[in-house]
Amino acid sequence: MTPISTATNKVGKAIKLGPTASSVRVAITPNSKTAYVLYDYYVAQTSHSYLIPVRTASNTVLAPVKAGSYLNSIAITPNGKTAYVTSDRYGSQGQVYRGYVIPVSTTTNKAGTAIKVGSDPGAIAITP
Amino acid sequence: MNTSITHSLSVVAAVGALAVLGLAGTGPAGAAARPATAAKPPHPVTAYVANSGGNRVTAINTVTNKAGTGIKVGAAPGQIAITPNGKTAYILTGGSVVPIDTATNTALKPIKDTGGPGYIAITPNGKTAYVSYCCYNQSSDKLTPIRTATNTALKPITWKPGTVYGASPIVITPNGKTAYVASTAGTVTPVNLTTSKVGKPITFGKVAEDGNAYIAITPNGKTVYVAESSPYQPGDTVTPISTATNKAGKAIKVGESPVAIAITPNGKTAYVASTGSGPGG
Repeated sequence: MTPISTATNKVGKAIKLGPTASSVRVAITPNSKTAYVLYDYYVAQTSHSYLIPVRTASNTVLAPVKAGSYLNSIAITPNGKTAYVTSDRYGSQGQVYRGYVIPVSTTTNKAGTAIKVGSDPGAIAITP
Repeated sequence: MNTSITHSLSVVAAVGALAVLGLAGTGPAGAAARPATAAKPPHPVTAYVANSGGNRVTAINTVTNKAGTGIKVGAAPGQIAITPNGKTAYILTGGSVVPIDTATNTALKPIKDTGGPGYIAITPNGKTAYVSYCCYNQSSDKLTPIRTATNTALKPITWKPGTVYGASPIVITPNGKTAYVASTAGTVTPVNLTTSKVGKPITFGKVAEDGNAYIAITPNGKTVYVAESSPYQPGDTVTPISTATNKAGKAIKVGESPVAIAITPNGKTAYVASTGSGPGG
């Protein structure tokens, strides 16, 4: 991931996230302090999904949060306390589609109990 | 695996849109800055999740993290946008836009003839939602305004060149005057939202075959960042566009295959995430 200063359009040092990804999404907390990167990649045809917190002040990567697999989208609550990610399949359920939404505390960067929703969850949006 | 990848691509540019919607809805400081004395919202903060493989939207109470029973909205629900007052969530489905009353979590009458929707953005004053289109081989691009007071579609705004592949993400300037619509034709088209007149498309790249376009705008509305990538021409740049002049600046080199642009709410940094093995990794 590349940070760009909007004042100068100059590029900062690239932030290494992981191997070649199948999909990537980014959401930033309302206080601008943390960018959460939803990073999904395949190893031996298995999806590995992580939510990677990046401290924006230093552009350093914090410990990735393991949050399901086949992650789709991310949204952060207006109070900035929780990031919600949608996951197509949770754990190692093979080909069984199970849709979950995983809440991740932005204070502890720990995933909470997965919330079961319908299959194949895609977009997510949160009321103001 | 193919289905899975295609599926993720179809929802991919939500990132930029989400970040901007968040800003439009809550202001740069978000609800965190709300004074302690402010009135409580009429209902808890709710997350809406589209079951893109089904026909429902699930509401999650973010206080209790309990999911409600799915709200039936029609086939293949995609992008979701919520009005700044939080009263209505608009869900794009195949062929219509379905408003959900967030107070009762019930689907209202679908707004028809908005078919093949791609992205949706709502003006900062919440009065109008704009829906863009999808997908392959569209001969012209199209933006349909929806009046949120009545949930009626107004006359579509069209132009050329249009979307070649994928859907066209939209950003709206914080003053609500202009929408910028990015397309895999390698163009960004400014639309004057007061007159519904289309400005000259701004070229930032080539046609991105089977690709997607991504766009984000700074909170001060001065700069739009746009990128595109495709499996055949992954691309490794993001282009800044000045909204004052509608001119593209010099392309900025980023990692290979940029697929997400997010700007910090304080407007200082644009993050461009890439999937590839380039320097952005």
